[in-house]
Amino acid sequence: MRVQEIPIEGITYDQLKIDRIPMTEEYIERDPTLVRVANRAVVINPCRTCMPLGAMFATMGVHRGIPFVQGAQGCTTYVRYTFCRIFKEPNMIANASFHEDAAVFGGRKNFIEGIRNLVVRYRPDVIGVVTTCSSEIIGDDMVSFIKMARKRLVEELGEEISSQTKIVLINTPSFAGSHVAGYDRAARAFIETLAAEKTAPNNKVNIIPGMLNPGDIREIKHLLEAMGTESIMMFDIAGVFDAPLRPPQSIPCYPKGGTPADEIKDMANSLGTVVLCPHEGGLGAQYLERKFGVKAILGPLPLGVHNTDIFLKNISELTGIPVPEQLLDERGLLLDFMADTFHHTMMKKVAVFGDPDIVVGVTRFVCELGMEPVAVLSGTPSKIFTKEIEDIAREYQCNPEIFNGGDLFEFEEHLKKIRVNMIIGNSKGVDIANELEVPLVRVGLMVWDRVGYQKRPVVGYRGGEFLLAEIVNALLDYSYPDDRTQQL
Amino acid sequence: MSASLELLPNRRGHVVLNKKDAAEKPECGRSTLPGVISQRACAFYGARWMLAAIPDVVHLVHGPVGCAYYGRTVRRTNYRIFSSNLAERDIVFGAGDKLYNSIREAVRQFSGTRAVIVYATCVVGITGEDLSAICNRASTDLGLPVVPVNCPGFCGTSQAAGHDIAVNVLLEHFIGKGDKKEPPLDNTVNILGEFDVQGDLGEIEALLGQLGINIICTFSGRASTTAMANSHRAKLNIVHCRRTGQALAEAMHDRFHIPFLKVSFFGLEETTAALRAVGEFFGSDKTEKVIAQDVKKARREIEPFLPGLAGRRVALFFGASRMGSMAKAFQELGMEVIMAGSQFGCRQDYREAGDKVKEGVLLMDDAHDRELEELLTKYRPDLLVGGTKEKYMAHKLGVPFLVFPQEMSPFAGFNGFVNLAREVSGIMGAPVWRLAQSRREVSKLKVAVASGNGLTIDQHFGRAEQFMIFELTPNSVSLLEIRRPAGKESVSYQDSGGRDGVRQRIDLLADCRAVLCTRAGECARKQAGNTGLTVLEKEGPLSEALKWCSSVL
Repeated sequence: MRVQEIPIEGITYDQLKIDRIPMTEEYIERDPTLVRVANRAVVINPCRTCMPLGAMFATMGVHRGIPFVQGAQGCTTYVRYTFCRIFKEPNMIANASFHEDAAVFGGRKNFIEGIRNLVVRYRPDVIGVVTTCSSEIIGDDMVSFIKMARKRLVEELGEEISSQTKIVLINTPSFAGSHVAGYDRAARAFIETLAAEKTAPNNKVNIIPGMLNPGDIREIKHLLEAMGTESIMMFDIAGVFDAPLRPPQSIPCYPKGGTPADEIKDMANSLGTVVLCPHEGGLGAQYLERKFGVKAILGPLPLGVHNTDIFLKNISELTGIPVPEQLLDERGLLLDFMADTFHHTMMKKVAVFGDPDIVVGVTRFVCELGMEPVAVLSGTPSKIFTKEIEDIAREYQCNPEIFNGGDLFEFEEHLKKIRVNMIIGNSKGVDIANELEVPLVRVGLMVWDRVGYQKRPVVGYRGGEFLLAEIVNALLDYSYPDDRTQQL
Repeated sequence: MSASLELLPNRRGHVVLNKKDAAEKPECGRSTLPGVISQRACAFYGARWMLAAIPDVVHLVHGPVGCAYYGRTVRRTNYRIFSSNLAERDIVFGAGDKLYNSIREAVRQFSGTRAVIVYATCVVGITGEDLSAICNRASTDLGLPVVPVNCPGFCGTSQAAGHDIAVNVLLEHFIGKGDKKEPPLDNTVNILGEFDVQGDLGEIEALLGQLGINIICTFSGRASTTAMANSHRAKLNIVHCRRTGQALAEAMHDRFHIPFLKVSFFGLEETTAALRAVGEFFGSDKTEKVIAQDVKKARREIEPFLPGLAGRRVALFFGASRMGSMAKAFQELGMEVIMAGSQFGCRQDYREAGDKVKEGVLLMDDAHDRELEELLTKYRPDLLVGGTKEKYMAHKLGVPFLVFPQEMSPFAGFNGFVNLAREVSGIMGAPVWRLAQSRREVSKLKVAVASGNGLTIDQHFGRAEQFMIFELTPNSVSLLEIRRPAGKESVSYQDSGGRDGVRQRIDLLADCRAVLCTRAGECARKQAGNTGLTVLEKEGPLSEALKWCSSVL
């Protein structure tokens, strides 16, 4: 809350009746009882966002899939703007355009007309209907709305055209959870709606990647390809949020990527489902297991040596294919890199924040590098986060402060009290890193202030190399003058 | 007359071709059709945009945490944001106490704060929380203003509703709260509707500074509570953005008798006119000297860019009221405006834009993604100007894009105009657009030859009756087909419609990497170059020319 002086030449402050406040943030005493988020009602600088974002993200990962947001225009615009900032790609998200009338009379009219307009204009393969706070509080009966919309489509466009568009309902009232839960619910909704009964085994492995970046998805595909395993990647955002520039394009301009609806239909025939982020996709995998007996394996996120080992072991057990030489070499490359750089990373204190699964993965990796995690924060409250971090802490004999469902204000206040060498997290941590004068290594979904980060992986052995390079280079940039880095 | 875009029936009235005399302007101010992909946002967004930059207050979003998460970044800067973090039980049992506690705690943690602004969201709008009552209670208990902003996302037709709500909040709680008896300050102004996105305010301030005029408060690019409290002491209000400034100016005129001027600082002419108007108001004798000197400097600096900009076609899509002034600025650069549109402009905005662009130019209200895609493919502008959300769609279609509000440097004032020329040149001239042309992507080389007899190159590009299309591979040359332009009559840039003829010929050769001809007009060469088609002038036998061609390309 820095008070800016009003720069008016020739006018004294007395004339303007301004009393100068010499107070900058550093001098304000915080009330210690109100620092922890658990002790207060107000959330300051939240580190999680709303459910609809996760559901929209998931729907974008389906081939020719368009999210339809049953809410006010801002619910769409903010998310579109966020995706644009992160991925620098176009994104098509439709909206029911709620106004006062919809708030009073409900969103039926808007929904039916909206679905009709969307199909007429875009002919999508899949529409993911994403509900919002407003439609959920009003109590829109979405199941029957979808039936009515379907009837209207058949009347107007005929059975053939309207049957080409599948409609999936995802209930995401924002007040009931975060974007992580939105993705989770979307995974279950898509499988519930689209997956067909078991027919013949397809010898594939289902992968639900969670909210990873295009580079990560490509790295997972690389690992599977090296294992000789075919897979169904639901929600494959790699070709959507990182699409080539190849004009001329036909319009509407759909990206080539995304999981085809037919593959989701086939998921019940797979050998098993591997969920990379247990909080993001766990519901879908558990549904497949319960309903069709497809084995569900929840996590861990293959980030770092140990976790990637487990991922490959799981795939190997599901398919019966041993881990090939090529991947053992990749593992060796990462280990070699770690051996060459650990003198920079050993005993460095690090703070990690972001979505629960990626924070757990990164925490284990930094422990593998010999760093000491001193504070870890998951923006989304989680039942298993604390235990997972405690397990890692026990294994590596460190004692991090755990913030489960915290906000960035308490994180910042805590970091001011202890000394850290580095923060690992998303772009929301820039202010904290500047304030503490330590480097911020970007990891996670909400990274918009670095170019090309989304194209490179942090998962897998090769992702580990990339992340390790980022960490070491950040430390070098902050700790060494250039003339001292000529011989490392 | 209607545009040759494919439109939903309800949308036809929103897209019109400009006619000078006719009153026909796009329909506007309506709610967006459901199910289309509009660029508009919600009232909450609008209110945040207006108020977010007030530095010395606590911004508390009363709603689920998501609205606050997005609302934290407004105008490319992070502001500390507070949320009452509504959960399921709060919605069922009410969240009045939670809001009250949130306000208390926020103020306790940030004791330097001058006021609390509480934003309503859809959730609060629907559950019907009595925001004002809670804010009043908190205000009495804490002894500082706690201001409710009733801006649930669903109210109004776009973010414009939020702007209006925010204006009322400013008037009621912040403006003129200083000492009313203090006399007006000489040579001072307020600027209304200027958000200082990328240093624009600095440019404007420097210009006014040359006339000896100081800015007390800028709504809301630089508006601290103290500046707003004293803003009633200005001699003049300058309205920069009509959408967000006009209502405020009128209200301040009624309440404090401050006269106002609607001006624009975009483009040489508009900036000149603005300075003259302000200078005249204050009786400044320096105005003409400042203008003469700055205009001369700006003209000298934009000179190198002008040849590259001449005749290039630009489509404009803004928030609301910048259409007219920016259209004029682009025309001053020698560019041709082919479309002017806005997300939520009003009749007056479209009328102003219509006056400043030629007849037949598209005017579009609340353009949707799909309509913009069609505009880009059918009208093929050389540049689209708009917001970040449209940027990457344009890129995918191979159309250069300028983000407005600007990404790199200020566009206001005389220096800003030079920046505009430089940036537009850079954006359109970036080599990536040439490299992205489909003709460069193919591994086999297609070349067109302007030849009437099939043996030698014997025809001028603009007058050729036919083009022979050859495919060149490292060890073979094969004739694929012969293409004939539609009109045989000679075309040149000077003829009326000549440019379209050239364009049509370039389109005919859309898949070719180069064209061989005896001669080609300068305009044709330039236009072809812009689309990635290389024009090679050569005479003589075909076989030799093609061999030479494969060695140079």
